[in-house]
Amino acid sequence: MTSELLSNPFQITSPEDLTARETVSLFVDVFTDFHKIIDPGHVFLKGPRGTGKSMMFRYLQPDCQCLVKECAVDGLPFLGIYVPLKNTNFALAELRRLEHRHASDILNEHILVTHFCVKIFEILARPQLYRHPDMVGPIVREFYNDTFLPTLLKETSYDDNYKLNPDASVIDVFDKIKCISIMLYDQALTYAKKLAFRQDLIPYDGPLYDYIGFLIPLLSDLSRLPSFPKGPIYLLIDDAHWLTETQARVLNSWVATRTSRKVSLKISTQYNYKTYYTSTGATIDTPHDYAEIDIATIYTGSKKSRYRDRIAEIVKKRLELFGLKDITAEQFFPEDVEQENKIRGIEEQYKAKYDIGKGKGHYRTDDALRYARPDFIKSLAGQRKSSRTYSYAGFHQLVHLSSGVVRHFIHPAHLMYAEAKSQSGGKDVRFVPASIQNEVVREEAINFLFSDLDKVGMEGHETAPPREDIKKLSNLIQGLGSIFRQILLSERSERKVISIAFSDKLSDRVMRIFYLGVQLGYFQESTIGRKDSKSGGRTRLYVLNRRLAPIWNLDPTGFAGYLFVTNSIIEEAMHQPARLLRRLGKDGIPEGSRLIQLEIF
Amino acid sequence: MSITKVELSNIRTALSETYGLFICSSSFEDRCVSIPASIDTDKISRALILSNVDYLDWVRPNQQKLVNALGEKGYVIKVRSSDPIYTADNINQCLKQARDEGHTDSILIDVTAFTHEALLILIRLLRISFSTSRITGAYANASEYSVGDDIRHKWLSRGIGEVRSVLGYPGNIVLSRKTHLMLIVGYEHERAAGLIDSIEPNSIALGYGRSGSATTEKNKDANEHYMNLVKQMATSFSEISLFEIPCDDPQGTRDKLREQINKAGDVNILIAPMNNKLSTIGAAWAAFENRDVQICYARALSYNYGGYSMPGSHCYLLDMQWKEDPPRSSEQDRDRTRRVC
Repeated sequence: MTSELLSNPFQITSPEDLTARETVSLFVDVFTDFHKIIDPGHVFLKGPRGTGKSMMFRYLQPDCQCLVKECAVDGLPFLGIYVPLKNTNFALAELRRLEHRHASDILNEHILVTHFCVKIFEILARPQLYRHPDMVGPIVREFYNDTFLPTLLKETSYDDNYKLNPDASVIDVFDKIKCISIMLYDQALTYAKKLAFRQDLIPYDGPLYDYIGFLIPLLSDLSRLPSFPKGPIYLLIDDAHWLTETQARVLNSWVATRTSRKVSLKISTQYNYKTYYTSTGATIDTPHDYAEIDIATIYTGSKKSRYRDRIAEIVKKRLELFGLKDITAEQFFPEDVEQENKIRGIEEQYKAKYDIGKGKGHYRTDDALRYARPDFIKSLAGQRKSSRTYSYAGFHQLVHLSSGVVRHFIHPAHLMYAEAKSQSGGKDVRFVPASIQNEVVREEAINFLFSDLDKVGMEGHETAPPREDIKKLSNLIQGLGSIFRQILLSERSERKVISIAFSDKLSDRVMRIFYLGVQLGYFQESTIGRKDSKSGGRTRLYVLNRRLAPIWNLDPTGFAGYLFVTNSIIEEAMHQPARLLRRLGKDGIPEGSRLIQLEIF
Repeated sequence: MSITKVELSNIRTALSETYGLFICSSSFEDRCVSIPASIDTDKISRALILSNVDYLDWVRPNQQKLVNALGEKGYVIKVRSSDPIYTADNINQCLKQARDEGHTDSILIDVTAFTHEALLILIRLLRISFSTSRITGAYANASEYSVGDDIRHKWLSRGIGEVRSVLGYPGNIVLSRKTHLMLIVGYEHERAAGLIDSIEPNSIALGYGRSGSATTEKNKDANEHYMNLVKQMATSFSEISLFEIPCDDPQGTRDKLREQINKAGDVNILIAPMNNKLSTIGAAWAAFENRDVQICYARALSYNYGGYSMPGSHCYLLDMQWKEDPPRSSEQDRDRTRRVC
């Protein structure tokens, strides 16, 4: 077990630092939801930080896959090679000197290709990959002399360092290729560093390698060798948002080559990937060139329940690895018993009403699920000197609050465990008291909105949003939060609302603010059918991040309606939220908007 | 490098010699005027005023004060936080022009209001092309940062934009090595945590101002408080090394960083100086001594324009004589690669 996991079961550890065995122990299989990742073909895997992209890639690496499939590398269906791009050399200020110059794409492609080679052959030089390393030695020596060296020498002259020891083992051979790649990479970087303070471009006299002429032939021949998987090679390219625009264009050009039967590019990125243009100015398009997966959309759509199961399994595995066996996620994060008993009491009243024919829902439990919790929250609001507020404790609520991002569950869980440990007087923590859960998620919500946004007036560089936009976004979030709160406290039948949809066309201004909100994680974007339109079609749906729910004491659990609004209402919320809130009707919704109930999930 | 602390009111006596070139930066902070308004401008032949066009609305009032104070000797250089190449080229061009006009034998730099990045670039340029010049640095202290806020609510900047290496400090990042980030933490704890979050290094070391070394007049021990906040925010690191730096002594900062670099072992070292400008000079010095070290910078998305700082009554004067290291030869680079392999 890594030392990090020794102190706190919810320690966030970089997957790169996990051993194969730890990775396999901790990993929860998600490929039923993301099968395109394990199928041949180029994929962009998009999602915010902490959604488990790197963990998926770690799991697909051969050391983990060999453990999972209980075979040597030659028995694997594909060879997954991890290529992290989180490398400050890609953000080297000196490389900007080349921007918009002819050489920029070529040199950046060379830097990327050599970086990839270093990572690929570093992994292949791990002895534990091979069942019979002695038998592989002659095969890879042949690969070195007949494939690698001739491909290398197309661009550079022979050097004595390239000579291979006749007895070289598989490890020696791949290590040598890695070292040569490092030399080539360093050579290009050294050149770039010389450009720091020069406006004239000095000539580059080193070799230049590219994807089609160098990397693909090497990888193609590699996959034909005995002792290697017969299936495709997957390059698991992590954190592509680190690339500069030029480098992203180069990578996109690789995607456009459609070499995926031999080499599939699995590219993970946050939402701020710089461009989908290639070096030639064309675009790459889905599904022709690649498949796209947005993790956040998947786990806030129809597969929410899978997300809950996945988190429960993650919790269970982490607790087990920590030595806490046979404790479920629900046991470790218990509900506030007193509160939940009261809510169950209200549920029973709704069921009793249904039994005497006074229910509104189709099924006996519909009204209970729909109204009991909002009724309870409302009852707390009605008590002027209420000694308590709504408690967000309980595994299911914490899952809802994490809004489809695993790290937004793990991070608060880490804080909760640390607090519980500090209050335990040195004893083992076998559950986190409800009060601690509630305190932590409330504090996290406040930090998320007020520390991260409210005081931020972004300004200062050409791509930063203007301060005014941040102010509008802040108004919008707070306006919507207050409206959702009013709806919850109203007498309406649908009171669990955290989403809005548009009944008319969005103005550019409103689009821009929502785009910013999505980028910063305050909203999730989706579409829904236009239930108010005879002509059908779809309209945009924005879901407020549930992490914010505690700020307005909103119900974060499922079964929510959405509020159909006009563009002008949102304009008003952005500019004059107080005026809009004053105009709310008794039902808590602004004039000109209406509530639509969502299906139960 | 010697350093002396003087009252601003005595700066004319302390700076008795004449300077061919005076370089300063305009800012939204009133502190940017403290030194230019206090020195004897008759002893200056030429003045360069950096003007950050990305923040022009905010810096314009103080920029005008600087132009007024320095008169016809003043020449405005446009720089951009968003574009280090633009910044470097414009500074370089003005420095060359000043040299051609014979103004660079002795240079006085008011480092107070530079961005960390612009200051590091300037120092690098001076070290490359003006190693024979006599260079004096001046730094005006603040009586208080985040004026009027209590220690729990002090803030200087919010959010981080792009993270990049500082031009001229690329280091030598070896692909197979892990990344060790050394952060010199100041009040900007959120920016520091954002940088850690963005780089996701394998390990971190937090440097904070040694008690009693603060250059501010109020909240002298705030650095430790903010270092603790960064530590709390960096929850994915079970072990964080901590070290103290003297905020009022670049050489002392250099020495402490040198110790940390030597202790770090076989890793890629990134330094992010986020305390005052004196410690940033110390970080530059440490990077000059060890060219494998990269200095990185996270641009802030917004600053506390209204209450960033209150000018203090002191300034620090430092002799910035450095000898340029001989350039690393290609053979040395090859040797290094061989060692790695």
